[in-house]
Amino acid sequence: MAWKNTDRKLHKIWRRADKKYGSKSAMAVSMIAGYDAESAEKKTDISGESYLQTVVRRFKRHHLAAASLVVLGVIVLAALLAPVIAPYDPNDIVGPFAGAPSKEFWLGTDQIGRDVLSRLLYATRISLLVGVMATVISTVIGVILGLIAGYFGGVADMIIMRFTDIVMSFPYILLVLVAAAIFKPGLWNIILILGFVDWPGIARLVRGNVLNLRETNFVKGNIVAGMPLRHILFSEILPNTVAPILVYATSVLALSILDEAALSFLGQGVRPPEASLGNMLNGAQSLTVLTTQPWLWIPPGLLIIVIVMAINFIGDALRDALDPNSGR
Amino acid sequence: MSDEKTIPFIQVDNLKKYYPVKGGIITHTTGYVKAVDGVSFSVMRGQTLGLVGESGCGKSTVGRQLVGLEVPTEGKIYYNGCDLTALQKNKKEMQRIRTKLQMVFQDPYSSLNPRKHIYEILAQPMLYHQISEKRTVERDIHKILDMVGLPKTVLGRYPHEFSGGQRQRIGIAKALSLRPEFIVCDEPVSALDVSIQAQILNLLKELQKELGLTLLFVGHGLGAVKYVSDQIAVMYLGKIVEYGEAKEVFRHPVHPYTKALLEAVPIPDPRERNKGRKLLQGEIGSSMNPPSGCRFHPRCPYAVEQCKADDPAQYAVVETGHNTRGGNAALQAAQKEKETGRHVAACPIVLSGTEAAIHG
Repeated sequence: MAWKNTDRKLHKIWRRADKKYGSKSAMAVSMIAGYDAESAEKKTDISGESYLQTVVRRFKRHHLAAASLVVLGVIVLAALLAPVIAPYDPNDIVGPFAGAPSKEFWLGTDQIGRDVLSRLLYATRISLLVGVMATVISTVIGVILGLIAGYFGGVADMIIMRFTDIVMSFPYILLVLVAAAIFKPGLWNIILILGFVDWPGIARLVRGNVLNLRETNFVKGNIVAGMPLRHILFSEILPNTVAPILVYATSVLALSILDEAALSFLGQGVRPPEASLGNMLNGAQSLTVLTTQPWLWIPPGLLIIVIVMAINFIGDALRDALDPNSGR
Repeated sequence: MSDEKTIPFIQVDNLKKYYPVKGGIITHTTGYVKAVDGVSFSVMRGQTLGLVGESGCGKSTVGRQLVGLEVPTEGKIYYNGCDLTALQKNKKEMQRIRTKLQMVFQDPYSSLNPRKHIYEILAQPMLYHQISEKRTVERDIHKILDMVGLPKTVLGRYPHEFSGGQRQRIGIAKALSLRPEFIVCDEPVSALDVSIQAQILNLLKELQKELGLTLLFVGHGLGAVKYVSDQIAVMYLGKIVEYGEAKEVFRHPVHPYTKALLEAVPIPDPRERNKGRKLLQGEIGSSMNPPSGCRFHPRCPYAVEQCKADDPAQYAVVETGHNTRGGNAALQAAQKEKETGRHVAACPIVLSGTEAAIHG
């Protein structure tokens, strides 16, 4: 067979080349080839930094986003440390009914005498947990379906995208309400329900990106290089879609937190003794509370706004910072 | 080893690639774009075949089929005597051959993953195919960088930090790193500055000599193709219209299309311009619905009635032999055979013997 001969010959050729090029200095060869190493050195001076450093530097230029990150950091820290810094047990009746803010109860007490500040800390914890987990679930589903639809195309693409269209066309809040009614409201059910309705946007985004990337020369080049499918999908294509996914995920995170609040406000979310930002607002459904007891609804309401806005600002800055082709 | 001299290294037989066109109210195939429609050629080991033609004539599709990026609709590709189209069904064997057939892409800006630094881009395929081990991969990469004329310092950088010419060198390094025998260069210099083009062409030529590579050089820049090619195939609308030794084709183009292509090469001296130049009129025909007979006849300045009907399916062997100098008759005959033996053109006028019409 011609194979053996070819392989042997090839081996010889490369051994010769190895010898020749191994002994030459890189500098000499590069000068022959007209490569001006020195000027290249100067030109790419700034790029001595890693990709992550570049991203951080670009991110810092968005002052609003940097500030948002600090604010969000403080909120997350407070939520994580709730058991330590909360002055009271959030579910214990410790004070007067609907007491106004005082030295003892900084943000007052609710209708049955629980400390609002303590409840607020625990509620933030729950709300962030719901938001993050729901986002993780929907991102994983969306990325997997988007990758399959985009890369393989054809029938798989058609089935997945029509299914995506169906999920997208459901009236959102109604679907969640029905699901919540069927599966009993509760923390983990809310997380799962929100996770399973938020993915279509990500699936579409990933599919679109994969469709583009599949046709790029570097993906073609790796197919020609005989790299396996898993390498092409997860090492070539996926890293190039991470930036848009991350940006989109921040908006999903903000939306999930809002949705959880809406559901809990409607009484279909996190079950009452446990506090969430939404069900703390639940009490604000009555006119008396709205007009005479603002300490019951202003703190959770304000916190939702701050969290959602901070996340959105961060998402915007990430969009700029992660783009590898944008300028410095 | 004797078969190496007689069997062409790459042989392409009646290669076709049709892309279905979908349309209608209920989606169905309404026709085919005949991107490549019956192309045959062969390349001997260590030689370069230049494939030239206008944009959209199917030359890149031929290249992509040769490295297995696209599956031919019909026809066979023999690589070193093995049927590549049959191998594509066998994953294991295909994987083995893949590394030997590499490609250098046209656009150096999209042929490198922007998220990976050069070390990763080069090392990953080498490690996967066990061409190099973890221990030695860095040294092996240094050697390949030497070959393409880049310093070691490029390894930690990202593709966007390089100029077009440097990226193309990296692209060539990536192709070389798998120790290929055959490289398809898909317009490797058309996205580069003229001064860089020469560097890259010289590099390719040098590497070919050094490593005994066989090249398919796809391009529309005639100068570049002429410079690197041993043989030239001129494509028009999915078919090869003229095929022969590079020097011969350039010196004595026979097919009207080849002539037109050569006429269209820009002339630097403004006073020499437009002196008896016959530039082609009109657009390249539709490959969905190609013209009848000779596909070039709507644009051909020499077209006669016969051209609309006769499809020049076969090639006429062109006997030029302009180059014979007096002396030994046997030597003359040998010289003539060497020069003209593989120079063929698909033109009905040439076929029917009225080539005087063209030469005149």
